[in-house]
Amino acid sequence: MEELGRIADWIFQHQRQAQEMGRVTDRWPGLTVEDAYRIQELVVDRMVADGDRVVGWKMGLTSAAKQRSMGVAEPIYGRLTAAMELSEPVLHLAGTIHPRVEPELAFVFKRSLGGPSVRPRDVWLATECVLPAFEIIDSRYQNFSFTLIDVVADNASGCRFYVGDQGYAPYAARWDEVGVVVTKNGEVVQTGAGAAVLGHPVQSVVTLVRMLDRIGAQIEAGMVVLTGGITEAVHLAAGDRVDIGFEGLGTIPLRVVT
Amino acid sequence: MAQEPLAEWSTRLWEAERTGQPIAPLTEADPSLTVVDAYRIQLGVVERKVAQGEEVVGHKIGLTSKPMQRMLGVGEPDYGHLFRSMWYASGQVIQRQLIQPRVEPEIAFVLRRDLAGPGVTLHDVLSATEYVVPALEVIDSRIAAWRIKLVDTVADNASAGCFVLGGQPSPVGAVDLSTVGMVLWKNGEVVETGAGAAVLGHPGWGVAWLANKLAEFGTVLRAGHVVLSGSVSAAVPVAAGDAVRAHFGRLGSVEAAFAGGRA
Repeated sequence: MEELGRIADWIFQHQRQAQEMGRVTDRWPGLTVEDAYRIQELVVDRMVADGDRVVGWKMGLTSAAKQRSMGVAEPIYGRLTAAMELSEPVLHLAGTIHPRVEPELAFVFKRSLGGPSVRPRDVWLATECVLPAFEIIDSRYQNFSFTLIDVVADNASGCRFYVGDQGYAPYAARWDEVGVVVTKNGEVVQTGAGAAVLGHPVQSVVTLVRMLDRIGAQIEAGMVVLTGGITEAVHLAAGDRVDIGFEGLGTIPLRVVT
Repeated sequence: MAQEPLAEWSTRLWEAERTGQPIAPLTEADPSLTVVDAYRIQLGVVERKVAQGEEVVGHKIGLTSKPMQRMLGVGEPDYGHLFRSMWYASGQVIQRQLIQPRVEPEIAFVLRRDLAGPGVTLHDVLSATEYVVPALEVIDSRIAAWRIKLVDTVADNASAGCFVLGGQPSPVGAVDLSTVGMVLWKNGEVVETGAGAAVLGHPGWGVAWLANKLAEFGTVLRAGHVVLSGSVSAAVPVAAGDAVRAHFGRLGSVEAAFAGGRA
């Protein structure tokens, strides 16, 4: 549909220029969630046409509390591209609007994974490793204020991500029990555990595969999946030093620069 | 100067607890009350309970997270007294008069020897600890609608209600107590997660703070006493019929159920 293409152009421009925008749902009433995912895909198509490539998926709204606040019963997903990945844990504020950081567990896949009825054990079979990671979310909407349809169209607020160097076997830890401590400029600001993500991060992958199956997509071999924020997102400003510690798995030191 | 004898406030808070009828904030009636006054009021209630045959079995530490401290505009934790009558075993049904209970998941320290401040460090705490064990603290306020300022909660025994200790103790070195993860379920749903560092960076620092604070009042932490070191997540409101469980990774679990109907 041509209209969706125009909306995708509009969002693409705001994402590329890191410019705040009004809600898509205010400007184009009547959009469905399916439309919103189609818009998200069209926006990413434009990135790919510019030379970028899709390297994985991210999950959002993975806690019951966040789903309740948005009035939904399932998480949302977004697309990760090569240009979004940080090669070192340093965030440059240029090119962002109001970024926040979320500690996450990343799954990296050695085999493709798709279909309507994937179970946790299928996820383990297809997983090469699990790694500590963080995601920088940055809604293009003013004041981070949006409806479900808006945020889906805006690639689930995806902005940047970083995956740690050390991978762990899928069986190296109880991922639901792993504690996470976020320390900002020397002060503990958030703590959590893996179970904050749908009871267990593996459930996030199960849900993603099921949702992707509706559009005939799947997780491809080599892809990375960010399973969802383990704590509340932490606001970032120039000069911040944020240490993201994962129980028994090391600490990622994030620096924020102008 | 306090407008009313502190003993009068102790009596009122004791009455509120016994009758289940909360009172208005002390700080509204008398804004001149200080934190030192508040601890005296708390001790007044403790003395009345001890005179009735109750036994002090330890202490609880409150306001151990920066967000809580900021909310009440304070720079340090507070503490209250634990009595044997407040103590439940994991899995027991809690059937007692509570006004507006909330649950906090905590790591409890049980001491092997006395710990006397000032100057107590994290290492002193760790070497004086017999074991740690997962705990649920049920906080409750005798102040209506939890409209508390620091002085109100300190006077009210740091809003202590009762507590539940898990059945499986662990040596203090079994896990890294700052990164150990905690998952709290209420009626089968994950409602909070956290990690030990939510308590002053390490729960042991909570115990050290307490030992040093008690030194100001000339008291020491006793061998065999329980110290609830502070909540590792936000408090979760509970009502009659609710079941809660906290799991602290390799430290294990602790659970409690609240009696159905009007407790």
